[in-house]
Amino acid sequence: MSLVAEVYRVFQIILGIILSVFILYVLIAYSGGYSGVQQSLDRATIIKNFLTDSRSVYFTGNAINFTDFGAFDFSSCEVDWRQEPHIVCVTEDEEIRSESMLIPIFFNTDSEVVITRNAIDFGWWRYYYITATSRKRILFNPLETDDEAWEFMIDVVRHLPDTYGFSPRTTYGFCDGMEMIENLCSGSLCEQREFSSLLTRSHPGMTFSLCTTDMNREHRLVVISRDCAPHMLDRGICITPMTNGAGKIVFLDTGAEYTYTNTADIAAAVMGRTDQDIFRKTEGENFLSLNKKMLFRMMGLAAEEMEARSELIIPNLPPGKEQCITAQANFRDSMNIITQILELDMEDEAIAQTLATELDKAGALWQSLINNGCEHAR
Amino acid sequence: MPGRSGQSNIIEYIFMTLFVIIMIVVLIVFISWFQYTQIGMRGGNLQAERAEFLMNYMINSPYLVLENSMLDDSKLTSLLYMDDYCNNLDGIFGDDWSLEVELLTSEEGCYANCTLENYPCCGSWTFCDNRRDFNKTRNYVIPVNVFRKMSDHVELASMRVTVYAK
Repeated sequence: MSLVAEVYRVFQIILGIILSVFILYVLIAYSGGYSGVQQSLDRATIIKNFLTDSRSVYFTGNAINFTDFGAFDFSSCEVDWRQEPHIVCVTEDEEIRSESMLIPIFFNTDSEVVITRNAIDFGWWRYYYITATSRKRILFNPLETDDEAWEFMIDVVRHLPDTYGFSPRTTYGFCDGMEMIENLCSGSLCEQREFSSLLTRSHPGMTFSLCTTDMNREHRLVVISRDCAPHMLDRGICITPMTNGAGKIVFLDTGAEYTYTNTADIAAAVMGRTDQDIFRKTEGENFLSLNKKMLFRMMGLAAEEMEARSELIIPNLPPGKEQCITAQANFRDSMNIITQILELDMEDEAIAQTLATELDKAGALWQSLINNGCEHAR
Repeated sequence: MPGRSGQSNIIEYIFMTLFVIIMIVVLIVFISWFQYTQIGMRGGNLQAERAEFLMNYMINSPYLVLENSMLDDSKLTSLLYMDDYCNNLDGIFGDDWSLEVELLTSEEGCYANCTLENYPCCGSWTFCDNRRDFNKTRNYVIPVNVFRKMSDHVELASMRVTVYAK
């Protein structure tokens, strides 16, 4: 072999190695970046699809099963209610922020969730909220079992998710001391409607002792007591039965205490996990804050609109509807009071109770408008 | 001429490797362009979905309707005269939209823009029209029912929901 041929062979080898390394590096770096971008897009698409499906349930009331969360790990996703509410998912190298939620959604991000709708009817206005729940076993520990507390518990259960016919299920039961009592419906776990019906049939006055049994990740403990204390247990929530339209929720993990004014607040608190965010708030606390923010904003606008509407209607009532003038004026005044109360601090239990009283009055006035033929029943 | 043959082999080899590099670059450019157009298409789909969502939301919203899919003329008119109603509704429906409702039939022949003065003899409502300077991206028109509160009957109207991009 000539010298030139040898030099050429050496050149081929060296250049070949350099180029191979270069091409491999470019391809690996590019495909790595490409798959990263594609994965971020896919994650963002899944969150968008989740919002779309939740909104569809919000409009129709028909529950659906959502399984896309199984594609990636969404455990870091949480609701950011401090700004315009949206979902934010933070991983090591990226942050995905959804568009604005616009509707109240209390969600879990396990691989499968059931999206359901619940509502609170104020008569003149209805508030809807969405729950997207993974497998959950909600255990009630009623330390008060008088008629009032029992009725309150039934009301709470009616505002929690009903996953009948879907999977994963949300089931309901009791906890009494060291014992979990769950197989209450023909020997198996109870769905919401079965448990609610069971509570209606059961005789209040049964006694329960404080729940001290070990629980797993699927369980949510709801203690009902008039003496909720921050560290009576180290998990679950404790609710004081509603008195004059308001009460307290205590998050037993953190000891944080909040005022609630409706059962949607309780549903929000029950739906959240116990993991804490950078503000040392649990997910339940964040859902509760989200619910309050959205409910009071939506209600404030609705009250303001209904007040303006009555103001518009009164001078334009046709002959034969004179009986509606006073009723519409009373309703208008009631709406005005509600608008003003909503500008105050709802964490103050006395203010929350005043709001509840006014909401009851507004509901009664609206009903009288319907009864007198001044408004249509929905 | 062994030296000349060696040189031509080296040049040939360099051309071949350059060709391979160019092919790789073309492939990368093509994939990037494909991804870019995909993102553009997703953006378009998002706007369409947003317009669809708004339309659904509005015909079910308690702020506008007496019951699902039936708008209430007294609610539409009173909303127009609330302070800062457009910003308040942005908190409910999201940003950058406008809504127009026009009666298609009116027993009393009332088709004018609704104000506090001419209500109930009016038949047109326009919400958040101040966004016309933005780019209009999607525009949906659907027929809806409007409940006439004062005369207690229902009329047919068209509802136009527009989504804008800044």
